Amino acid sequence: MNLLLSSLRVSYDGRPVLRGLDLEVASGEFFCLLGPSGCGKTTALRVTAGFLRPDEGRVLFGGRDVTGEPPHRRDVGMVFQNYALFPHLDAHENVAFGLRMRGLPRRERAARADEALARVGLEGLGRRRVHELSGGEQQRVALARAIVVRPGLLLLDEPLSNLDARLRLELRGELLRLQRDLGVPAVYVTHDQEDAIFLSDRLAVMRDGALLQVGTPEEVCRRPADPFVADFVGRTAALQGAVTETAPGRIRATLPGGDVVEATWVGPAPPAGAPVTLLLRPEGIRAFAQR
Amino acid sequence: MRSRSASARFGPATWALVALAFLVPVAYAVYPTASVLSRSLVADGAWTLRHYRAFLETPNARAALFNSLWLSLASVALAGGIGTALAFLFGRLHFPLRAPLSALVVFPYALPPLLGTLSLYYLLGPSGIVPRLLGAPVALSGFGAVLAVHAYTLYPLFYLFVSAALRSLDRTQLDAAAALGASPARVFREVTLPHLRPALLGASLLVFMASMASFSAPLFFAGDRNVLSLAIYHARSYHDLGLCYAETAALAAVSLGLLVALQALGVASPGARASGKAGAPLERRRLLGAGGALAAAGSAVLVLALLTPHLLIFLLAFARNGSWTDEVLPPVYTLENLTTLFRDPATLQPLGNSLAMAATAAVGNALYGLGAGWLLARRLRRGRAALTLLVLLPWALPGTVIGVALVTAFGRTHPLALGGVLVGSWAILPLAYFLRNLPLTVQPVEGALARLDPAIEEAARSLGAPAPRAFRLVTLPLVLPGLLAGALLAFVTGLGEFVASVLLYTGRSTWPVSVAIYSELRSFRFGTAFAYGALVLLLIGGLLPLAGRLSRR
Repeated sequence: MNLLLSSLRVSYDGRPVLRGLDLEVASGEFFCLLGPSGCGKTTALRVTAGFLRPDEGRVLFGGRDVTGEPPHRRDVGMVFQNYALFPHLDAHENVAFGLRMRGLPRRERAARADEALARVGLEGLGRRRVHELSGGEQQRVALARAIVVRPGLLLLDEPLSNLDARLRLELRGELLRLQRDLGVPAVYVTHDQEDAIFLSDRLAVMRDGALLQVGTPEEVCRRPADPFVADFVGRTAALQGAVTETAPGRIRATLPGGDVVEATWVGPAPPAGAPVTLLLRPEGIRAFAQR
Repeated sequence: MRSRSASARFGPATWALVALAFLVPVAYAVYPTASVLSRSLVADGAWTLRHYRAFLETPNARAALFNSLWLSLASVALAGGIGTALAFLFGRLHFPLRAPLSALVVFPYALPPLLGTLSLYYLLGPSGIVPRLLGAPVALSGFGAVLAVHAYTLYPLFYLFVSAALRSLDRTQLDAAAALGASPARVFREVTLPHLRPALLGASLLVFMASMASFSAPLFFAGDRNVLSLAIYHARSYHDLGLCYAETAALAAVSLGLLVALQALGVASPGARASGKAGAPLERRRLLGAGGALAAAGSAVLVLALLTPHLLIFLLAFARNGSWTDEVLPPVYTLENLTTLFRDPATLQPLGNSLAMAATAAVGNALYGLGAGWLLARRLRRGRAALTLLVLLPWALPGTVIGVALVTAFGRTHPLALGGVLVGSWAILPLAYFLRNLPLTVQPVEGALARLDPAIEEAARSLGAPAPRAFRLVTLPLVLPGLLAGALLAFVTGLGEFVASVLLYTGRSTWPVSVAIYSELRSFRFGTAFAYGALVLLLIGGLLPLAGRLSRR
C-alpha cells in the first residue's frame, strides 16, 4: 500500500500550519518528515491518522480516499511521542487492545500479543503494569501495540525523543529491522537529522507548513535545495566508496584515496565491489593520539 | 495546542452537551438568584430601593449584617490559629502515634454542621454536660458559642491547606536562606511564611464564606441575637418578603464577591486536590524520650477532645427520651430509639427520604460532572472560564440563598420545571443538594482528564475503537475513581444537608432526616433525634474513607 497526501491545507485560528502539502510514500518505504518544531510535521501525521480533518486536500491510502474516514477505520498503527500507553491495562492488554477492537477471539488475541511482545524483546513482561516498565520497555510496548494489528501504514511521532542516547541508537536499529520485516510503509516524524538520515529511504525537510526538499538522505545531504536545508541537515559529508567486506549489520568500504572505513548497514548486505555512498557526520568521528 | 485546536468544530451532540452544561446552573442557580435580586428592587410594580432602605434602617437587620461580618472575621482568626498550629504540630514534629492521630484531626470537618452544632450544644451549651460537671461559667452561649462551633468545624480547612503547603516546602530553600546568613526566625519570616501565604489566604476565604453561610450554629446558640442567614429565615417565616429578598441579595453579593476573590487567587476549591510536589521534602524534627511522650500524650488528649462530639452523638442515641433533666449525663439508656426507628415506618421514613434524595442528587452530580468535566478539560476554549464560574456559583451561595431563590423562582408553574411547580414537589430537595455539590464531581473529572494525555484516547481510536468506545474503554476507567469519590462526597453532603432543606421541605412525607432531627428536638425527643444523627454519622463514617481511597487512586 502506498500513501498519498495531496494539497493538504490546515490552519489553526486562521494561522496556516500546512500550506498545500503534497507527499507520496511508496509501498514498503521508510519515510521521514524532518523539520524544526512548529513546522507542521506532526500536523501532517495527525491528518494522516485521521485525528484532524484538513481544510483542503485529500489523503489516499493505496488509492482509496480516506479523507473523511474516522481514525478507527483507517487501519494505521501509530506510535506516539509519549507512548500513550493505557495506564489501567498491563503490557499484554495494551498490545491486545487493537485486536480486541477488531473482534478477534480471545485465544488468537493472546497468541498474537505474545508474539508481538516477543518480537520487540519483551517476552515474559506482559503482566507488568505500564508504570512498572522502564522508558525503553514502554517504547517497545507502544511499538508492539502498533504493529500487532498488522496495519497498512505505520506512523511514528518522534518515538525516540524521550530515550537516552544509548537506548535511542539501539531502538533505532530495531525499529528499522521491524519495518523491513513487516514490509509496511512508515512515516516517521522527527526534528533529529541523525534519526532521519539513518532511518530514511527518503526524507522530506519541512518548514512553515511546506516541503523544502524531498529525496534520499544522500541527495539531501549532498545537494541541499536551499541554505535552510543545508543548515538543518548539518555538516554531513557524503563519500563514495566500494564495498570490500561485509559482516552482519556492518560493511567495510574502500574510499577513492585507499582509506578503509567501517560503517553500519541495514538490510541485506551488498556484494563486495558494489559502489556505496557513506554518510559521515562530524560528531561520529573519534580521534585518538598515536602511541 | 494540539487537543484544543482539533476541537474547534463541534458536532451536534457536543453542542447539545454544551447547552445542557450551561443551562443547568443558569436555569436553577443564576436565574432564581436573579429573580430574588429583581424582586428586592421592586415594590408595588415599580423599581425602588425601598427594601434596601428598610434593611439598613431596621436596627435588627442592620445588626444581623454587622454580626455576620465580624463573626466571620473572628471565625477566620480562630479557625486559622487552631488549624495552622495543628498543621505545624503534625507536619513538623515527629513523635510516637503521630500518623494515626493526624488522621483523626480532620474528623470535625466530616460532621454535618447540624450534627456538630447539636452535639456541641449538649456538650458545652448552657445545660450541657461539661457546664453541669464544672459549673455554669464554662457554658457556651451567644456569639461566643457560634464562634466556637465555627472554629471547631472549620479549622480542618486551615489544617489541610497549611499541611499541603508544608509538604511542598523545599528544604533546600530553607538551607539556602540559612547558608546566606538568615537566622531561624528570619528564615521562617522570609521563606516559610511567604510559601504558606496562598494556603492561608485560600483557607481564610473558604472559612469566611462558610461562616457567612452558617445557619445551624446561630440557630441553636445565638438566641435572639441575629445573623444574616437567620434574619433571612425569620423574614421569610414572618412573610416580610421585601426585607427577605434584600437580605438574601446582600448575602449572595458577599458570597459571590468572595468567590471571585478565590478564583482570582487561583485557590482551588472543594473537589480539587492540594498538590504537594516537593523538591526535597522537609524532615520532621524527632521528639524522643520525655519530649516525644509528652507530645504524644498531649496530642492524644487533644484529638480525643476533638472527637468527643462524635462520641456524644452515639451516646445520646441510646438515652431515653424525657429522662434527662438536670443530671450531668443522661441517667437512663435504652435501645428503644433505634428499635422504634426501624420498627415504625413513619419514623424510618425521613431516613429513607434522605437516602433517596441524596442518592438522586449524587447520580445527577455524577452525570453532570462527567459531561461538564469533559467539556472543560477537552472541548471548551472560550466558554471555559464562564462554565467554571457557573459550576462554582451554586456551591458558593449559602444554603439560605439557594433555598430562598428556588422558592422565589419555582413557587409557581414554570417552563423550567417542565410546566409543573417545583416547590412542594419531591424533586426540590434533590435539586438543591445537586446544585450545592456541582463542583464535587466536575473538578475531579476535569482534573483527571487534564492530567490524562489526549494521545491515549487517540491511540485507542487509531487501534480501531470508535470515539464513544474509546471513551468507554480507556477514558472512563481512568476518570472513574475521581468521579465516584466526588459522587460519594456529594451523597454524604446531601445526607446531612439542613439549611436549604429546612427552607424548602413541604410535607411530612418528604421530610429529610435533618429536618426530622430538628423537629424531634423541638418536641423534646432528643434520643430519637440523636438516633437519626448516629445513623447518618455511621453512613458518613463508612463512606468518607472510601471516597478518600478512591480519590487517591
